[in-house]
Parts: sequence; C-alpha cells; structure tokens
Amino acid sequence: MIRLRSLRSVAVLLLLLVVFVGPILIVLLNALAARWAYPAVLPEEWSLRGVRFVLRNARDLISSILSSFMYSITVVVLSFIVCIAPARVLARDRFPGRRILEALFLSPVLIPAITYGMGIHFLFIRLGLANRTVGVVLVLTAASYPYMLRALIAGFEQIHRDYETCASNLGAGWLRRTMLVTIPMLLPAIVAGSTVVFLVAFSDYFLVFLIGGGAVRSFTGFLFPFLSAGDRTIGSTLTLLFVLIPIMLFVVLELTVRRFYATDSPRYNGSDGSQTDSSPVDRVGPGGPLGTAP
Amino acid sequence: MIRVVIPTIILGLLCAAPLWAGGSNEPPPSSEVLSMEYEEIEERARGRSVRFYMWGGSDTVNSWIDGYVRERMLALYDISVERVPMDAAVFVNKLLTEKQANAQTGTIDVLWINGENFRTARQADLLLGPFTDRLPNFVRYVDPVAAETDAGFPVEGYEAPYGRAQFNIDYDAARVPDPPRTFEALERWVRRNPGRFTYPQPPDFTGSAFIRQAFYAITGGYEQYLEGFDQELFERNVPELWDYLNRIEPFLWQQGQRYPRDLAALDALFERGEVDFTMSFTQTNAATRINQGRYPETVRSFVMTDGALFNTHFLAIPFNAPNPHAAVVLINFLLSPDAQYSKNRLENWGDFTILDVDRLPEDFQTAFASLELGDATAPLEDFSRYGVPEIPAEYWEALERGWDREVRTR
Amino acid sequence: MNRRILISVLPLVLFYGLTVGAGLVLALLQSLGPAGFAADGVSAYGELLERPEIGRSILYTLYIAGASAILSVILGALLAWTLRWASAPVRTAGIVFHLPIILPHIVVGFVVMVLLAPTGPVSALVARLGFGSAVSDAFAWMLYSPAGIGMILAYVYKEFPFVTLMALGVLRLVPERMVVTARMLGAGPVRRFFAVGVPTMRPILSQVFIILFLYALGGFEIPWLLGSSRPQMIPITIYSLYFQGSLEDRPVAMAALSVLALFSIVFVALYAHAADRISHRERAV
Repeated sequence: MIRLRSLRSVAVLLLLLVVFVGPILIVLLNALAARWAYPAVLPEEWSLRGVRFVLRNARDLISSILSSFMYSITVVVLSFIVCIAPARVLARDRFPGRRILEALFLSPVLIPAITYGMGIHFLFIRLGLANRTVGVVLVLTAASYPYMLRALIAGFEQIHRDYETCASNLGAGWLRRTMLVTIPMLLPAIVAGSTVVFLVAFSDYFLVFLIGGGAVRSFTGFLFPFLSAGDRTIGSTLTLLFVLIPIMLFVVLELTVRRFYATDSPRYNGSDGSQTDSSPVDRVGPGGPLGTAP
Repeated sequence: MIRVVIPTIILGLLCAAPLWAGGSNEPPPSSEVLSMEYEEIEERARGRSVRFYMWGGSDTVNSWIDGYVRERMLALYDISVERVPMDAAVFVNKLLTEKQANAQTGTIDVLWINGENFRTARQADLLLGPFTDRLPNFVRYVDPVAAETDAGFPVEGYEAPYGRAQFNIDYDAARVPDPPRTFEALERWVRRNPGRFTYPQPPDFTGSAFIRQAFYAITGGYEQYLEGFDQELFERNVPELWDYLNRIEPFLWQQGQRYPRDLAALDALFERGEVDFTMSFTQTNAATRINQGRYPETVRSFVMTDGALFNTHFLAIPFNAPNPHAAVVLINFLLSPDAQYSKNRLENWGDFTILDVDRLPEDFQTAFASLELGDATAPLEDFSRYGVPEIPAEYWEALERGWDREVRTR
Repeated sequence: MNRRILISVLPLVLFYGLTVGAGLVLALLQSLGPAGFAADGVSAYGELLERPEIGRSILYTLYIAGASAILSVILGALLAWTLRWASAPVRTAGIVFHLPIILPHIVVGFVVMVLLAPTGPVSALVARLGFGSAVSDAFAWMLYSPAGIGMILAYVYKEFPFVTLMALGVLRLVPERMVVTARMLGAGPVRRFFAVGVPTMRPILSQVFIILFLYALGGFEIPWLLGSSRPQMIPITIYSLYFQGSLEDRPVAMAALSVLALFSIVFVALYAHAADRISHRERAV
C-alpha cells in the first residue's frame, strides 16, 4: 500500500515537473542559445545575445514594464472603486432583478473582449480617449472589473452583517465603520480580486494595442513582435523576464498577507475544524464562477 | 432579460450620441507647417519628440532607426524619435477611423508608406501636404522626376522618397546548388522538392510583392499594365496567376495549408532550415544577415530573370500629426547624404539611396561609389537588367483580395 | 428597490453602459453601413452569408474553442482531484501548476511554438528516443495543420491550471473521511473520482466551461500566433477585414462581430437556464 502510494507520488511529481517546469526550462535554454539546429537536443552554441539585447534596450524595456505596471495598478484601483458599493448590495440585499443585474455585471468576462473592444475603439477616438493611457485604463477596467466584483461579493457574503451592526451600535459613523471594520475584514477578498485584475490587465495585449494604438507603451506590446516573429533567443529572454514579475508579486503577497492573517481564527481553518495550509487568498477565491481569471 | 437588454441599448445609444455631434471642419493646426521656412520649422521642432510608425518586421531596420537615427536626431536637433512598429495597412486604417471620428490630433507623426497604402491615404485625404518643398535636402539632392509617382499614382509632394528597394530571393548555396531563376523553373523546382518553398501570406508586404511579380511573369510582362488599372484586362489575365499558385500549392511547405503569417515568420523558417528560400526587398539583406551571424556564409541572393520588382518607398505625414515640425525635421534628416549613406551600408540596413548621386558633393559621390555591398548580394547589373517597375496601385489590392478568395480559401 | 440600492448600483451601471454597452451597440451600428452609419441596412449581413469561408471559419472556431474548453476541464479536474489527496510534499510541489495562469496568452502561444517546432528540441528528443524522422513531420502537422493542435494545446495549457484552481476550491470542502469511507467500501480510485469528485466539482466545472469556451471563441492572440491560414479563426478574420481591408469591408467585419456577440449572449443564457434546470431537478431528487 505504502509503496504504491509513494510510487504514485513520484509519478505525479514527475508529471508536474515535466508539464509545468519543463517548458520553462526549454525557454531558459532558448534564451541562452546561439545556434540550436535540429537534431540537437541541447544548444550547440551558447550566447548572451538575449541578455545583451535586454541591456542595450534596458531603457525602453523598463519604461514599457513601468507603463504596464502603472496602468495595471490604476485598473485595480478603478475596478475597486466601481465595484465596492454594488458588491455589498448584491451580496446582502434581495431585490427584484438582482440576479439579472448580477449576470449583466459579470458579462464582460463572458462575452469575448473583441466584441465590445472594437466598438469602444471608435467611441474612444471620438471622445479623444484613444491612444492615451486613460483610454487603456478604461477599457481594461471594463474587461476585468467582474473579477473584482465577484471577489468582493464572495467577501461580503462571508462577513457577517453583525460586525457592522455592532460597530454602528457602538457609535461609529459610516466612514469609520467602513475604514476600520468593513475594509479590514474584506482584505482577503480585496487582495484576491486585485491580484486577478492586475494579472489580467498586465497580461493583456489585444485591447492595449487596439485602444492604445501603439502610443501607450506596454510590456506585452514590447514583447509581441519578438514572439510573433519567432525570434527564439530574445523572445525567450523577455518571456523569462515577464514571468518574474507576477512571481515576485505573488511571493510578496503571500508573505505579507500570510503574516497579517497568521491567526487561529476558525474562519481560516478547514470546514471540519482541521487546519489547512491554504492562504486566506485561496479561501475567498472560488465560491462562484469568477474567483480567479482564466 | 428584456428588462435589462432594452435599458442597455438605450444607454448605449445615449453613449453613441456624441458620435453624431459633428466635428469642426477647419484645417488642423498642423497645416501651418506647410507655409513655414525650414529654419523656422527646425527652430520650433527643437526639444520635441516625434513618433515614427513603420513596419516592424525587420530587426535590421529597427536597429538602425533605434540606434543611428535616434542618436543623431537627439544630437543634432534635440528631438527624440520613438519608433512604433505597425503595418502600413493597419496604420492607414487607424488614420481612416480617426478621420471619420474627426480626431484632429492623432499620435502618428511620420509614416513609412508606399504604393497601395499611399493611394488609399491620399484618396481619403489622410495626409498632410504638399510638404516636400519644405525640405532642403529634397530640393537640393533629389531628382524630382524620380519622386513624381508611386506605383503609378501621383505623389504631388505628399510623400518624400526614402529609399529604393528591389525584390530578391535568398537561398543557401550549400543546400541548393542551382536555384530556379524564373517562375516556370520555380514550378519545376517545387515539384521536385516538395515542402521546401513558401511565401508570406498576403496582405503581408513581401508576400504581396511576390504575387505581383508572379503576375507580371505569368501573364506576359509588365508593359500591358502600366496605363493604369484596367478591370477587363485584369479579369482576363488573372486566372492564369491563380491557376499557377494553386498548382504549386500542394508542393509548398505544409502543402500550402499554412502560409507564414508574415515575412518575419518566413525568415524564421529559413533560418531554422525548414524551407530553402526566403525573400526580401532589401538588396543586401543576405549580406547584412551574414554579417550579423544569422545566416551561414554560404547564403546568396538573386533576382528573378523574368522580372524583379523595384520600387521606391516613402515617408509621409498624417493630417493630424501632433508634432508636424519635428516630423519635417526627421524626414529631412533621413534624406540627408549622411543618413542615406549610413542606411546604404550593409552593416546597417543596405537599402539603396534615392538621392541623385550626381548632385551630391564629391566626397559623398566617392563614398557611395565605393560602398561595399557584400559577396552575397546579387550583381548590380542584374538589378538593373531584370528590374521591372511597380504595377499601378489599384492592382495591389485587387491581387490581394483575389489571392484571399482564389488561393487561400479554395 | 430602495434608494440606497439604486445609488450603490448606478455608478457601475453607467460605467458598464458607457463601455461595454456602448461598444456592443457601436459594433451593431457600424455593421449597418460604412462611414457615417448610413443605414445600408443589413446588407453587410447578407454579404457575410455570401462568403463561403465564413461558414467554415465559424465551424472551425467552434471546434477549436469546444475542444480546448472540454480538454481543459477534464485535465484540470483530474489534476485537482490528484492534488487534493496527494501527500504533503507533492502538494507543495504542486504549486507549480499556477505557472501558466500568470503567463499571458501571447507567451503561452510562443512557448507552444517553441515546444512543437519540428526542428526544435522536443522533436529532437522524441526522435532520439527511436521514432525517427517521422517525428519531425508529426510535430509539423500538430503545429501547422488545420487540425489546430497547436492552438488547442496553447489554450489547454493556459486554462487547465485555472480549472484546477477553481476545482480545488470546492474540493477542499470535501472532508477526507468521505473518500476514506469510499475506499473502505471497496471503491477503486476511478470509482471514487466519479462518485465523489465529479458530483462535487460539476457546478464549478460547468461554469468554468462556459468561460473557457467563450474566451477561446473570441480570442485573438493565440490564433494570431498559431492559427492556420485555412480555415481561419473568426477573430482573425474580423481583425483582417477591419484593419487590413478597405472601408467597404468594415460593416462586414462588424456584422461578424455582432453575430459573435449575439451568439455568446444567447449561449450563456441557454447554458445558465439549462444548468438551473438540472440543479433544480437534482435537488428535487
């Protein structure tokens, strides 16, 4: 029994390695390869052409990354602002048309982005919003706010109303209640929603290219010509660079949020009382269809 | 559902209302540059930035712009140049949309354009001009006759010539000792060597040029088409082209089920050894790549003996350029003997100059005459002997659409 | 509806209307005629039907999207189930499954291009293992042929970890004793999966399926990198018509776009309705 278990474990480990780590390794090798012609299984010549390229174009690269970063953060903030009030209402209140409204609000993620993106393109040109970061932020928010909404709804559903009732009974006004009670308790949901929205905005190519028109710099815009031309070396180098950013973000997030929530509160334990090692970020995630992004 | 759909539609229509609010019909402020003297233009342009939208499919060209051009523009005029990769057809469409939407200030300052795209842009009144008379380098060094037409369409000063290109084909002499030099020979070659040749999918610029060149060769030469677009003539002759392309299709790479999406994809296939040929408009393409270490030393290039398209490519300014002064300065710089010489060097790009060498100062005349073009480049006599002029612009689109209908979807 | 609710909801309604709503409406309007919406009426739709390859494109897109979504759901569910009951070290190692989630679609497309390249390292490795030169052709077929394996692989690789993430969320709520009991009653691993795993995961899986299916239907980036020339995926056709064609092509592009939007909306509505019905029935039983 035990041997079977460990054999299966090894098999699973191997599978995980090959499927998820393997491709990254191949990308890494490609990034460092000069000539790698068939039928060689490993590069014949190594080169730092990719690295040199990155260094030579560091200024452009960094400004593209920063641009992507800035507009992504803005999208997160904007989506939070538009979603916080509706989320509370959708989670707590029952009113006619609630389900339809919720479906409507979640729809931008269900219908393909090009269907409304190309129409928005024209409108934004008319309104002078095209080719500007403002336009990009607006369209990315439109395409990704449902993730924030879903996360916030799930978050509100898990916070018992009584906390807020107690707070108001104790004399706290609307602002104090929100800042000192609601938001802190909502934090895992906010973090979950923000991570997803950030990722979606940061990774988007088509909408940024469409609305930004080449004038709004982005990391994906910088990356794309190399990927589509199949320049292995530079494409791979940039891919590795790209991957580092969300990984770093994830690590930072896990460390800080974990530290913040290292408590014995039953809410963060398993449903049958057992301790699970999932982070609070995971807890709030799935609870409905849109806990995280595809 | 209905309860939501109708309000949304109403809301949407309300939002679309600004569209019906008309825009102004005054000429955009950028047009003032057309009446200024160059010294004044240069003065106004100092310290500004300029966005140069161009086809980004060649990293050689990209590097030259990002390196030499950017550096010199900064040093000479304190103007920062930003290169934005975008296909000509796409940015023309972008300008079209902007014109429709009455956007008086756009984001594009300088365009790299020619042929069909220029014609579309002119017909839709998307360009600022005429401006070439503002450029000292144009007035001084360019032969006006050479800059008069672009694929048969009158230029009228709305675009400035930038370089001269000629269609040629690269191959590895070590793998292919005897490459086909005519389309007839090509058909025989692909039948004997299935899966080793392909061309970029039109409307890619080079792929489009390939079928234009094929059109000439297969339907009996170019002279018959130079009078302007003749619908009847076209419809009479074009079936032969489709027959040819469909005949060779099963012998192409991947049996023609998949054409490389653009020239860069074809180049990648060639470099990886999946096909034996690639093509280019830059005469010294092979030599430049060998120099960079991307091609093995045995690569050579040739021009087809049944006609090798040559054309001029140009620079233009859109109607809503936000920095028209800097645009003029950039274009003038790119027409300068220094820039044209740098462009012509195979270490950089290799694109031939459009300057009338006889009008240049002596030292430049010597410099151009002694330019090293590389062993891999086809002999200059071949370029002139087999060169054929571009077909009138209307044919370009007709051929592209026809290809899509008759070859891709068959 | 009281005022508080209205005020809370209105900003988002406005935002939605001004972006998504307006976008959809504009696509519709543009399909009715070129330039200034001169209502040429529905002639663009007629033209759409006339082009024979549009029909093939639609079917092809449905096939690619459907295959990708189904495979993602199956593989994702299997991985989730495996990870749920795996030992601690395996679960920790399992964190790598998050990797494709953070990769953008263009990068996953690129990675698939590299992996499936007929002259690439994976092909070389497999050939080394004794399969000979036919391997190169097989890889070329996978990557370039209209079977679209490249695109499907790219979508699946990107999406199935997402399915796993979602499924794990629900599976966490399944107490271990359920599976232990099942094992004690003699149920083998396959039986356990179908008896315990599938029913638990089904609601979330069906929701995820719609998302993935519709995403692949309208996705641009992966078909651009990996799609074949014939047939073409619908989003590429639309892009081509709009950005590489002439003014007359635009209404046709927008007509195709409107049809795509309509299909998505109808599909979601039908699916949600059907899912509702099924869960009602299940609860009744």
